Amino acid sequence: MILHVNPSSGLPLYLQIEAQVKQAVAAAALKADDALPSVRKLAADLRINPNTVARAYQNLERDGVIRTVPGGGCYVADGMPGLLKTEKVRRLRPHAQQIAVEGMQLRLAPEEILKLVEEELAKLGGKS
Amino acid sequence: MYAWKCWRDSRLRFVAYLTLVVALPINPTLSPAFRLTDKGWTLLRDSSPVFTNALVESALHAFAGFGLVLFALAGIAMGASGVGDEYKPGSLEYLLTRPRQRRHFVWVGWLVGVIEMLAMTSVSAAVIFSLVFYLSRGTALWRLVALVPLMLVMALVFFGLAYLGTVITREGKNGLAFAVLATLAYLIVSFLLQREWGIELPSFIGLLRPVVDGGKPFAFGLLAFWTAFALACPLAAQWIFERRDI
Amino acid sequence: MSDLAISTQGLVKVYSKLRAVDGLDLSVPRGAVYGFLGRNGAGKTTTMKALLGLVHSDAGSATVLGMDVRQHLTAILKRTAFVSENKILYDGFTPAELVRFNCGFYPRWQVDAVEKLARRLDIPMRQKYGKLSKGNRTKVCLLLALAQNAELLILDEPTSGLDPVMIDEVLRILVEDHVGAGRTVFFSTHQLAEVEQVADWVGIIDHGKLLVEARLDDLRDQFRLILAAGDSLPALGAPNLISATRAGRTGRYVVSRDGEEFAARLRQHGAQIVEIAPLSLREVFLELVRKEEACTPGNAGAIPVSASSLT
Repeated sequence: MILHVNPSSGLPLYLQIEAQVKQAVAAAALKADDALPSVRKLAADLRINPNTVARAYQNLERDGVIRTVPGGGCYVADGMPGLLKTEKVRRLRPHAQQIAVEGMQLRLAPEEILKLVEEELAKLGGKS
Repeated sequence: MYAWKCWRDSRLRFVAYLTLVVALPINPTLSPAFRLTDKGWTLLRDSSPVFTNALVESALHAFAGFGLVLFALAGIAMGASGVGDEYKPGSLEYLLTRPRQRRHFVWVGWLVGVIEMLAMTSVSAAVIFSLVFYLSRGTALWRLVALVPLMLVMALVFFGLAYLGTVITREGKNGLAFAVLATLAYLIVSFLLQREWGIELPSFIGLLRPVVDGGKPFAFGLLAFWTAFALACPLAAQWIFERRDI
Repeated sequence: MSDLAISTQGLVKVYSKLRAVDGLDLSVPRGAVYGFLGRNGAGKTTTMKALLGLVHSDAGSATVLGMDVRQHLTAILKRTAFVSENKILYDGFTPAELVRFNCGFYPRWQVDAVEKLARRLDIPMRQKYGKLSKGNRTKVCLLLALAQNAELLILDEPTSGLDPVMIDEVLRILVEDHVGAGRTVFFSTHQLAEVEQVADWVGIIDHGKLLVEARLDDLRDQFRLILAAGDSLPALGAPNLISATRAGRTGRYVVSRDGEEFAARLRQHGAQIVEIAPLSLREVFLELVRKEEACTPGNAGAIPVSASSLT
């Protein structure tokens, strides 16, 4: 898995890593049970602080995107089977809210906003 | 480890001054033995008491007389070194962040100097001793041997002055000047006090004379004084160095 | 205090009339990679020298690895590795000899680790130090410090003179071998990009005082640039407002926290928010340290910000 972070973007590095992993899973570039590089290896490859990687991995595990094995090693989780649909919807709502608010701020019509979301879903292949 | 560095810095000067202090007293030592023959100058070898005594006396006077000046010069030249000389290059920020107390570096530098001065005085004395022995089989040279620690103390006084001066002025060059000026000042003051009020300040001649000429009792007081002075210099250097900001 | 690798309380160091360090309260957690930032002459080097006993402070105290600097300096130095700003060692020695010289002070030195590191850093080990380029000298200083395997690394401009490839390699070595397992790295640099990559804590010093000390991620989460447009942009004063500039109908505000709240207040006054954007470390640094002229009363140039005001 190739990750890229931009330390000067003002966005915390752990959030960047989380976003990229989630995106990779969503685009099926990472499949269930694929192994992720160890914290130390990823940190060394990216030349960033291992704590940052550890934090990202912790958050990803909390969100059910990855799971850790007791002997060490992180793997992509299996489609989050434990989560109910209501829970998934609840998680996504704040992001939807943000899109709605921003769209209104920019004075885009609701159809234009929805079209934007559809385009992004199409890019990911629309897979669930 | 620091001793190795001190040696590296001083070894060229050490060899130069060692050569000087060994070579210069040789000619005056040998003066009673020179004979002009039709084949040119040769050295006389003779074990007669008259010749032996003459040779021993000239050896002592050469060692003490030349030594007085030579070891003072060598002491000052070798002493203008050590931690004080590391201010200007800027390497103290490295050295003093090694896990040793500051006084460790002051004393190691001084001790390397002690060993160097000891080498100079002993080798010079040994060379003179060998020459006398070779030419006259004279071995009752205990007075020559007794002169070695006295010469060492004297050399260390001058070494200490330059060493302390280097710490005070933060540069070897100026430490050297400090030692020279201090010596001159002392000589002048000494002379004036003697002439105007008849006061005798401690001197090296007073220390050496009982041994060279014999007869007079040995000046233990003077020896104690000069030894204390020689040790006071690195102590003062330590006190100053510990309190400085780098 | 034992969970802090470095801690100072009211540290003061005065040179003639100049207060180089002026009441500094530094807290570096153990295991942190702490970027110590400031302009030239802000007091970074003086602070480091005070931590290592090179200068004697005039007031306040400094504690390193739980020990008072004034009383346990040698014990601190056994467990701390230092790279000084001036990168001066002994010109007459080669790097190989310098390694020999240095390792005499540290009994737990590992020779093969040193050789490996020297190769990775590409150091000419047989050239006299005085003849080395600035970049090579920096590498030798780093070699001596890293090979010590110390609990605490104090590095003053550790990448000065290095080209980008070597900087990258140094960062990699630091991350691989010297971060984690309770080891702390306290470094100062002008290369803010390096700090953003490896640091988790940042402290900004200016005129001998700490302007801000916080987790880097908190700075990223909380500092915001707000661009607004409006006919009569209000002159809002606030403790979290770092700078405000207005030109015509647009206003530019930088806040140290609660960006959304500030934007909402602006909206209440009829302004329209064009953008709320995060700031890079370089931008945060410049905002805090550069004294910009304030456009209106009620605004300040640089306002002292502490970690508590960020949370």
